[in-house]
Amino acid sequence: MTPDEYLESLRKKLKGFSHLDQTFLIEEIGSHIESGEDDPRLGKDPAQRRQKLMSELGSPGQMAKGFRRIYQPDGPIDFLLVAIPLLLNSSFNLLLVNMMPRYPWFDVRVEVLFRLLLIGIGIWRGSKLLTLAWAPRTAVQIVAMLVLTQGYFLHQSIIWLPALLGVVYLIGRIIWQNRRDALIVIYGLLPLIIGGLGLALYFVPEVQSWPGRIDFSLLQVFSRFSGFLDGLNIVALAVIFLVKNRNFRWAAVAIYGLILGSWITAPREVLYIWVVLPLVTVLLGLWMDQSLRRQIRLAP
Amino acid sequence: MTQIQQVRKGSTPLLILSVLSTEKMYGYQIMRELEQRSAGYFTMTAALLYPALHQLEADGLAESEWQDNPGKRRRKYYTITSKGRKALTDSKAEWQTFLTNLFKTLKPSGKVQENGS
Repeated sequence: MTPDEYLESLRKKLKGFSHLDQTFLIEEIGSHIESGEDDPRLGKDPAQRRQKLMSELGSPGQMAKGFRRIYQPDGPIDFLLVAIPLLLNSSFNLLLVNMMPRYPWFDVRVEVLFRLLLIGIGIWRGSKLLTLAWAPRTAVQIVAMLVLTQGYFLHQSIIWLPALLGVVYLIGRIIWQNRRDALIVIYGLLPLIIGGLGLALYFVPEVQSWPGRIDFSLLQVFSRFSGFLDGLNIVALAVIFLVKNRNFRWAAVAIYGLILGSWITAPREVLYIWVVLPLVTVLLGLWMDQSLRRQIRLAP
Repeated sequence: MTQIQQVRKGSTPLLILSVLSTEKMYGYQIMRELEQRSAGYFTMTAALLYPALHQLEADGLAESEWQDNPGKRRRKYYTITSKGRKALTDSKAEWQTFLTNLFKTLKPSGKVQENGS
């Protein structure tokens, strides 16, 4: 295998990495090959040096596998730690409703604590996708718990406020660390944007009018296919977590955003926001990703 | 993978940090330096070295910067961080304790020698 063939093979094996990461990794290995080709310690003539050098590289597959462990450490277990709690969500809510009369503390706080546990597992496993699946939802949920319950939990702010700040800090940190990968940034921001706007709209005076035609149609779609949408959400998450093809992953992020939007219940009068907002956010992310790709191609 | 191979693989971050503790280096240079220091005993493929370097960087034990190399591709230089120096010191102490105790245990005790003589 020639150095060019090696780098091309490595590029193919790094499919699914952000364009910037892919470019930097190829650049670094290319520089390694170049250094070796110029190194007289590897042999007298260029052919001899190249042979020794190529034998020291290891296969492109091994190399990509090593990088994947660092750049894309999320695997089936991380996906299951998102999918199973989501699938059991309605049963969990039913359990809360049944337990609350007997145990007054068995309310939304138990759900938040459970999600904090999942975030902890995400950090421990080094899985940004798992952490970002739960952290933004949990942040929105804590805010909702504190501000939408007529001050019922406000006396416990000393517990929930540090938890909220910790979760927000964590989201910011992961997004900053992955700022070169628009897909991860958008995936992490979507629940925060949609949930945050959903919360904000609670404070906007409700317009008492019959939903418009688009909203009415969407309402019908959301209510008729809610079961199907839940299944589709799991499929979208499976693609985001497990598939290497970047275009499929972007499409899955868009579906994930639309389904997040469909879960927002108020206000119904502006239902189309929950379709438009995720799509605009994802398209913006995709545009950023593509323009970055073009910049890299044009770079000397 | 044999036990010795596992130990060698496990010692990769320590070896890299040790090399970086003297000066900042790029990947190829690290590879040759390791080979030279160990008289050819510690050789590793680039497929093992580079992911290990990126892992050290992700863990905050090393940091990197690109530097131009006139007429050639740019080079990525790695430097050990203060966190990396501390990790290196701790790791060296752990290996020291492990190896001392290993050899102490492997060495025939005086009692056995007396009985045997």
